[in-house]
Amino acid sequence: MSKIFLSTDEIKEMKSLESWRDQMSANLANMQDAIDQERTTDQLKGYRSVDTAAAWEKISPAIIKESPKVNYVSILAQSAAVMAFVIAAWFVLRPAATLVETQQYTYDESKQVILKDDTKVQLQSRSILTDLGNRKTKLSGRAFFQVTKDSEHPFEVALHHGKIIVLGTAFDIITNEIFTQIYVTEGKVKFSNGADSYILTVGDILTIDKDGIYEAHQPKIQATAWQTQKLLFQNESIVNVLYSVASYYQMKLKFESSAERIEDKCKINSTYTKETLRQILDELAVIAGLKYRIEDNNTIIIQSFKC
Amino acid sequence: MTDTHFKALFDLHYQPLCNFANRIIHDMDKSEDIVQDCFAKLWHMGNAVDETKSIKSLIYTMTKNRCLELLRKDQINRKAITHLQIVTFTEEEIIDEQEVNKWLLIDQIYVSMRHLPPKCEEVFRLSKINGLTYAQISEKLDISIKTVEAHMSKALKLLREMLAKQIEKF
Repeated sequence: MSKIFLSTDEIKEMKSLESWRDQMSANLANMQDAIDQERTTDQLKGYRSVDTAAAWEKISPAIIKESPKVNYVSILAQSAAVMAFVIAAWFVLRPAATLVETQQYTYDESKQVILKDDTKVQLQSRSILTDLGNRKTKLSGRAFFQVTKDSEHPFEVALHHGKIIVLGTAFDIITNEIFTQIYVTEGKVKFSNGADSYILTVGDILTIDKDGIYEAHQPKIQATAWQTQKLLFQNESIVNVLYSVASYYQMKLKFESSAERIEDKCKINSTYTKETLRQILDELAVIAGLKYRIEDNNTIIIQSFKC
Repeated sequence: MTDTHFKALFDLHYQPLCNFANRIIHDMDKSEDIVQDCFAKLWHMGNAVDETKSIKSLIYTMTKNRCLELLRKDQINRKAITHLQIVTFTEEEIIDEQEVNKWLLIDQIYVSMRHLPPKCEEVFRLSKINGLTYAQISEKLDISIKTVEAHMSKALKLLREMLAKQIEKF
């Protein structure tokens, strides 16, 4: 009867709906599977590999110790003898060259430190740089490194969230308990956090925080502007300006997904010297329609912008 | 439990447990220390372990409680309350087998990723592990968003096939 009143297209649509209904349970199950799969894989964010074999090596002596068959006195005596021998041997055989003096640098104002290998480090005020010797350093705070080339002796910087290994290059680092951010201005930098490694080249920005690791690329970012205390923008895109401002004030920059889709057409011409972060962002709100919020005092979230 | 059983339990659960702990305390080094301590404690418990209860569930619950203990100390010492705001577990809560199996599944997916075709693996890793958006991946790898979507869809399909034999429902 329906065929009399319905057009050909409507009949087709009805058949298709009937067919969907007949296979509904299977279709619904497939749909649920797809949703479950998406949810499960979302849990992978920040997932890291660990060295299970090394961990077992570490834990197994504690387990063996509990075995009732173990003769503790014998083990203690043997261990004491071995320790005594090792200590004595070390005192006799130690080469004088292995004694390395550790040097720590921290100042109330930004200052350049020149290490023994001629590597130059511009250290921001109240940041702490520790020179452990043999091209090994440790940083807490912010610094700009210009590392001298030595292909046989890699230069290392231990950070709050991993370490950097380079042969000879220049890079800017912010590292604190909350987050670490690396920006490469010259050459190549390897970052490793034990589980994962990243090779960064010029313009790459790597941010590591409690939620994971984020990579971005902004070749024109003024990452080292903090040294001159001046941000100068001439016909710069808004996204580049935001990255430079965030880096200058040691803030992380994140874009809400809706903001990521906006075409970066705005061109900014401005100079900032003594403005606060809020003053700069509020000015960008007027000239580029920027909408933002600041979270946890360390992250600028960009919601939208339009020019 | 024999040494062999204990070693098998350790090998299977160590990595997912470390990531489970890291999700709570956001510090992988401390997470590894906690998980190692919990396994040592489990071994020392010996016959005191209630055999009617799941050992898997017990080790996850022990780890969760040690993490909460550490966060509480952190909160007292450093007033680091930001982490606590996202912890959804409570001291009393027992981590059931369903939660344990979820972490085993996540670990299995992570391990299986390396068998994906290289480009597929890279796109999947950037999206799911590093949390990049499709637009960011497209820019980073210099491919279109449609291609990113195609790689993701292929990765999910292949992972599903790889795991189908091991897990009833993925």
